Amino acid sequence: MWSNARTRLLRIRIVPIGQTSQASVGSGFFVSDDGLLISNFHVISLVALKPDRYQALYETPAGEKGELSLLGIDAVNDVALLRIKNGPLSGKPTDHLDFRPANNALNRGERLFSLGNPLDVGFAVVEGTYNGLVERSFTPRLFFSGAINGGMSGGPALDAQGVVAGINVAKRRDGEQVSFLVPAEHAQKLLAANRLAAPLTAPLYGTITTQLKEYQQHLTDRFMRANWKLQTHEGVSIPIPSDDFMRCWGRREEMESKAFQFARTDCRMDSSVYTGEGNLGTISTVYESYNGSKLGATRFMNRYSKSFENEHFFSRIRPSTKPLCKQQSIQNLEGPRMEAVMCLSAYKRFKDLYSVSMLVATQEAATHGTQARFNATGVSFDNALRLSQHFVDGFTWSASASGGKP
Amino acid sequence: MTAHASTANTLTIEYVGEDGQTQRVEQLHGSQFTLRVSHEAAPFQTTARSSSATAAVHPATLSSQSGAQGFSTWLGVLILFCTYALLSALDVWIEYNPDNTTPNYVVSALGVTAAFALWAAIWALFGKIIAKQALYWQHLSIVLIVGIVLTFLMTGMHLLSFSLSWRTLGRIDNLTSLAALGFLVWAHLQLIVPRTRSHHLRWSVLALTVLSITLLMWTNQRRQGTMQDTLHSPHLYHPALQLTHAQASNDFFTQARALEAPLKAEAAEVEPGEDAIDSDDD
Repeated sequence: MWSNARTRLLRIRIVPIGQTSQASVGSGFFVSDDGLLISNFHVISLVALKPDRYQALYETPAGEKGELSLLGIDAVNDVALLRIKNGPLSGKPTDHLDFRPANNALNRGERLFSLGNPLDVGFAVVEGTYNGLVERSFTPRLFFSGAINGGMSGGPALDAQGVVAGINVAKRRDGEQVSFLVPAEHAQKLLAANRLAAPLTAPLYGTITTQLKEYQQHLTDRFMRANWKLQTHEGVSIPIPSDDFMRCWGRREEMESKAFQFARTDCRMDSSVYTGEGNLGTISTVYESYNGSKLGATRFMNRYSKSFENEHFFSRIRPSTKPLCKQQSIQNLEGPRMEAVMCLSAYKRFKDLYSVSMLVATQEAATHGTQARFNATGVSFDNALRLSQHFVDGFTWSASASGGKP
Repeated sequence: MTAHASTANTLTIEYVGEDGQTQRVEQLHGSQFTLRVSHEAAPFQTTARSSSATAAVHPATLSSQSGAQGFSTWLGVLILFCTYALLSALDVWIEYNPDNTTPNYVVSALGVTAAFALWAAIWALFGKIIAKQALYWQHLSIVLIVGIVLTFLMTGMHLLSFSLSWRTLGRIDNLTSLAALGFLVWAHLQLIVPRTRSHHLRWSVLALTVLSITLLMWTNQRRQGTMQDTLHSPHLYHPALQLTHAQASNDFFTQARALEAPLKAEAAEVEPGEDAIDSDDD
């Protein structure tokens, strides 16, 4: 496997221009005989966003070094296409790896060999198995049971025949040998679309924004199509996202004493889009259902207010605008009255994309209620409102309680 | 002429001219004073009063007046303290859970007492140094009154923000506290600074308070894009206290479209320290 791949593999270093120390390191592999190679977008994101400050350099296992040009990116699927710009390989035909044909699907349990430069200690071949597509991942990822480490990103995962089945991209830090590959088809599409492209020299915020816009539209449509899993609290149905591409975790606790109880549910996506300046394209929800019947209204509302106060609305992506908020007591046709706060921030580098947080506190009774929060990042303004309203309208009187509620 | 008799049995005599300016100040110390006034030309006005009282009194009764006013001052402070202690106890009761150990109201009350006593003592010390009068109980009264009024004011504002959907009232706690602090400082200084300079004092403290509030609003604006202290009003009460109608969720989101334009405008701005965005977009 190694002898087949060694002339087709590269170490990629991202170096500040004028310096010799690397800012990041990854792997790549040749996909054509004229010096085109594939890596991950996250490996070369500094060059994509700050081409005036960073350059991409290559180094072969044989020690040949030179500079790379960036031709195209697919930020959503985390792949990038580069070309040899100068150095000993410039202008020479290059050995390359072929992609596994699309009609030859991988089988669960099939052996794969991941190649790359783990932790920058040297090139390595890591054996593992393919275990299907990652469940609940919005962007398709291959589940590779093998040890991918930092520095291997962008390297190829080959099948037993030595053709590319996927590209190393990530691993779970909280598990053992739970790693992920980008399906090879995304690299093939990028190669086909940008094979003849000129080197990119301007920051690619516009390209990333365009890709994010397409992605968020798809994400929004799919989220809106999915049915809520309804969870009931004291006669109110609470909208929980389906397991389609989100994972929910729940816990029930008694805060401070038995007098004030709460059940919490957190739902979030396992996947997101790395933009080079943070992860966008995510949806998450949090629910806290409180019961303080032993406390009485005054003391319950004191705690309920404090929980409502303890919420923050600043975007983690910089630079972005300060949040603009709207607060109102609202009610949909079939649900309880709610105190609602919606805050939006706009990203400065990703034009017309926003983060939104929708916080609600139901007010169906004096000693119990539910506070819930919906968050979405990297969505258009229209979709921010659509998603938020979809969430708010998901709060309804449960069937058993609807007769007795206003 | 104006005579001030303090509870510490110090008699301060200020000779005030027709123009309202203090001509001379004398201070006498002793256990009892008798004031005899004689004059040769009319008109003549004699007023004797305790610093804490405002009503004119007969000059010959300063001694007994001092004792009576001392008692009334004590009673006033006691009433104020009890009122504040009750409010504190209510707050402690709200914070504690019924199945926890019984809240220690005494410790809470003592904590409040100690804090207020210390605050008043500091002002009394200033008074003693600057105006030769401590007026400790008056200072303590002031801080208690401001504390009580502020508690009621804040609670009222929070309730109104919820009941009438005036959410701004629920987002200005720090600004209100700062204004109350300005008033508190002014009230303390009124006891310390000679009355003839109170006009300047009033304007100085007012200017300082306005400046502080403006500075806080500016900081809020810089930090979170709004001059108010928080982005939302968190105060929730019994649903029956909500007096306004709920807005239809459709209307809420229709109105929210108004946020888009200012967000776009702000996103286009380059703030100090930010790189201008050079991009490959159209």
